[in-house]
Amino acid sequence: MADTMRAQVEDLSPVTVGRRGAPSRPRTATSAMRRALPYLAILPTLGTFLILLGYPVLLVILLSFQKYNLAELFNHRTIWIGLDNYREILGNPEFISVVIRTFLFTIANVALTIGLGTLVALLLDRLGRWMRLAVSMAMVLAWSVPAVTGSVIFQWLFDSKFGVVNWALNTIGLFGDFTNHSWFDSGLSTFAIITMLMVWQAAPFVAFSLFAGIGSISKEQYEAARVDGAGEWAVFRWITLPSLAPLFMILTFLSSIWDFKVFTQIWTMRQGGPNNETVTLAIYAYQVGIAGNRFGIAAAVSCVMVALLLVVLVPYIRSMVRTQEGA
Amino acid sequence: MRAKSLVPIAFLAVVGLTGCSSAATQAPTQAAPAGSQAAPAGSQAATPAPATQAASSGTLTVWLMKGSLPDETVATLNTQFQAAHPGWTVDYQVQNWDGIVAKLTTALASNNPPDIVELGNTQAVTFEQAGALMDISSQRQALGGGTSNDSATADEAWLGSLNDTSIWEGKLYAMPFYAGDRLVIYNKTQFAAAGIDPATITSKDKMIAAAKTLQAKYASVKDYSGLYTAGQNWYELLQFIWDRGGDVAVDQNGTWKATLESPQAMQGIQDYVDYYKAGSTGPADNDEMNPPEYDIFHQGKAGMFIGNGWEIGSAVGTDGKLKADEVGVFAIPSATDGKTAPVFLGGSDLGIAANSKNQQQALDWLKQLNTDAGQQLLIKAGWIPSLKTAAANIPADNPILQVQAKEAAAGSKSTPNDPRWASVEANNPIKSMLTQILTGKASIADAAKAADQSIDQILNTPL
Repeated sequence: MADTMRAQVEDLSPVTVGRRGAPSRPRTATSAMRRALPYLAILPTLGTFLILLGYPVLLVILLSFQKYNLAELFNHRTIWIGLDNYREILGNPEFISVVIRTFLFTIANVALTIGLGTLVALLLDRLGRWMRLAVSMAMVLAWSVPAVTGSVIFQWLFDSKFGVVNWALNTIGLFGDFTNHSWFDSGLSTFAIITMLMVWQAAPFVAFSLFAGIGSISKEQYEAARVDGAGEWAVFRWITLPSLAPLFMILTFLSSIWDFKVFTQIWTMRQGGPNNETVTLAIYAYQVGIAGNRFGIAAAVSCVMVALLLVVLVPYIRSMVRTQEGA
Repeated sequence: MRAKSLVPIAFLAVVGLTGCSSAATQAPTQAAPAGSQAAPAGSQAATPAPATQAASSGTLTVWLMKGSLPDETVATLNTQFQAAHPGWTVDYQVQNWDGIVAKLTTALASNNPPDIVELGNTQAVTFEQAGALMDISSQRQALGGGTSNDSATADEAWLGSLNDTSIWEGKLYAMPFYAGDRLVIYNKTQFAAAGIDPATITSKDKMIAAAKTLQAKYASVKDYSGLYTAGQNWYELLQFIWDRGGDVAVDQNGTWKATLESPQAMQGIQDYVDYYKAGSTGPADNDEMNPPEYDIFHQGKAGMFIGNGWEIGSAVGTDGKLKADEVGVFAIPSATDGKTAPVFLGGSDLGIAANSKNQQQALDWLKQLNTDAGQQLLIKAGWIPSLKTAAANIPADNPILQVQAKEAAAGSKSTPNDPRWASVEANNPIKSMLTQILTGKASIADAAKAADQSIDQILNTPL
C-alpha cells in the first residue's frame, strides 16, 4: 500500500515540472522508465530461468532432430536427420502402447489421489483437536518420506517371501492362501502397488490444501443449508464443491503433471518390469536414452511427452484462468 | 485474456520439459561444451601416441574399480612405473560400480579424460563400438596377448571370454585385466552333519539329491534350503543353458537371433527349474541380490548356493556366526556326470581413452600387468589372472581360486558381445521369463518364446 502511494507521489512530480514550462520529454522518459521497471525487476529471475531451464530445453529440442548415439558423443559429430526420430517413435507400436498406458496410469492416480485427499480433508474438518493433530501428523510423515525410501518400504511390505502383507492376509485367512504370492508378477498388480504408494504420498498435499479451503467457507452457508434440510451429501455437493472448484482444478492440474512424468517410484519398484509392463513415458525415455545410449530418440520421446501433456492440459488451463477471472 | 492465459502454459511447458527429460539428456548436455571445440571426426585416429612420446613429465590418470586391486598392489605398480618414467606421477582413482557407465560416458567424451579406465567385461563393448577407446590392435603382442585379434581363434594367450570382450569388429580396444566366476559355496558343518562328501557331487542329479538330504536333516530350520537360489538368478540360468549346448542369442551374419526357445536352451531352463523346485525358498519374483543369497547362507538357512568368489567374504560375515573354515567350495557340476558346467565369466578389461594425451605412457603402465610378477599380483588379489598360462598355475595355498580357474579353463562364456545387450539387462526379459515359469503362469516353451521376442527386438535396433 505504502509503495503504491509513493509511486503515485513520484508520478505526480514530473507532471508538475512539465506544466511549469519544461517540454514534455522528461515526462515520457520517466514514464517509460516506470513502465520498464517491472520488467527490469524480473530480469534476474528471467535470466536465471532461461540459462538453467531454457538452454537445456533448447538442447533437448535440437537433439531430437539429430542422430545422437554414443558414437556421435565420443566423436563429436553432429548429424541432422530432420524428423526421423519422431517418425521412428510414432511408428513404433510399443511407443503407442506406452503412451496409452501412461495416460491410464495418470488418470487412475489423479482420481484416487484427489478422491482420497478430499475424504481426508472432510474428515479433518470434523475431527476433534487431538485426533486432527494425530491424523495431520500421519499425513505429514507420509508426505515427507522420500520417494526412493517409500518405494523400498513398499517393496518390502509386498515381498513374496518376507512381506508383512502376505503374512497379514494369511493370518486373517479370509482371502485364501497368500504364501509366496507374488505381487510383482503382472503389470497390473505391480501398477496397483505403485499407485498405492503414490496415492499414499500425494494425498496429504491434496488433503491439507482442501482442508484449508474448507476452513475459508463461511459457516453461515452451511447453517442455512442445514436449516433448509440439506443432508451431508447435498451440503457437500452444493456448498463445499462449488466453493472449492478453483482449488480442485489447480490440484488436479498439478497432480496430473506430477503423475504423468513420475519416474522414481516406478523405476525403483521394478525398473518398468515385469516384462516392460509398467513402462511409462518417463521410463521409456530413460531406457532408450541412458540404457540404450540413443540420446536423439530419447530427446524426441521427451518432446512428444511434453507436447502430449500440453495438448491435454491447455483447455484445462484456459478454463482455470476463466474461472479465476470470473470469481 | 488469450495472451494472459498463455503465460502459465509457457511456464509449464518449460518446467515440464526439463523435469521429465533431464535424466535422458544428462550425458549429451554435459558433453556439449566439448563438442563445440571438437576437431572433425577421424582426427583422433590420425594423432597417435608418438606426438606425446617426448613428454618428459606428466600425470597419468588411472581409474580402477572398487574392490579390484588392494591399494598396496596399485602402489607397487605405480612405483615401478614411475621408476621407469622419471618425472611422471600416477593419479590413481577408485570408482564405484554403481552408476559407472554414465560416469565413464561423460568422462571419456571429455577432452581431458582419464588415461586408463577399467571396464566391466560386459560393459566394455559399448565403449569399444562407440570409439571411446584407443585402438591397440598393433600393441597386442607387446601387451602379451598373442598375435590374433580374431575372437574365433582358440590359441590366444588371454582367457577366451575376456579376450572376446576386448575385441570389436576385429580390432583390439582393451586389454583383459582379471576374471572371476561362480562356484558352489557350501557349509562344511552342515555337509558333515548330513553325511555328504562334496567330492561326490559330480552331476546335477547328485547335487539335487544332496540338497534334499540337507533339507531332510534340517527340516526343523524354518525356510531352510539345501541349495538356495533366487527365482531370477539369470546368471546361474545361463550357465545351465550353456551346459546343455544352448545360448541366449546367436549372431547370424550381423542379425541377432535369440535362442532361448531352442531345445538345448529349454533343457537348461528345465535344469534351473529342477534346482529351484528341489526346495529353494528363494522368491520366484526377485533376483540374487534381493535378498542377497550370501545373507541367507550366512544365517545358516542354506546348505549351499552358487555364488561369486568375492561373495565368500560376505557369506562368512563379521558377526562370528559362521567361521571362514566352515565354508567350502566346489566346481558347479554339469548335467553330465563328471564334468563341470561352463561358467559365466565376470571380470574386467582395461582400456585407454581415445582422447588421452598420454597414450604411450598408458600402454607402458598396462604392460606391467602381463609379466609373471604382474599376474601374481592379480592372483594375490583373489582374481583369475588374464593370461591362460598364469591361470593354469594357481598356487596350492589358494584353493578357492584354483577351483575357479579350473572351471574357467574347462569352459567360460559371457553375454552376447554387443552394446545393445546393456538394454536387454536394463529390463531383463529373462528375469520375467523365470518368474512366469516358476509361478506356473506360463510353460517353459511359451515363456522362452516371449523372452526371445523381446531380446530379438532390442538386439536388432539400429546402432
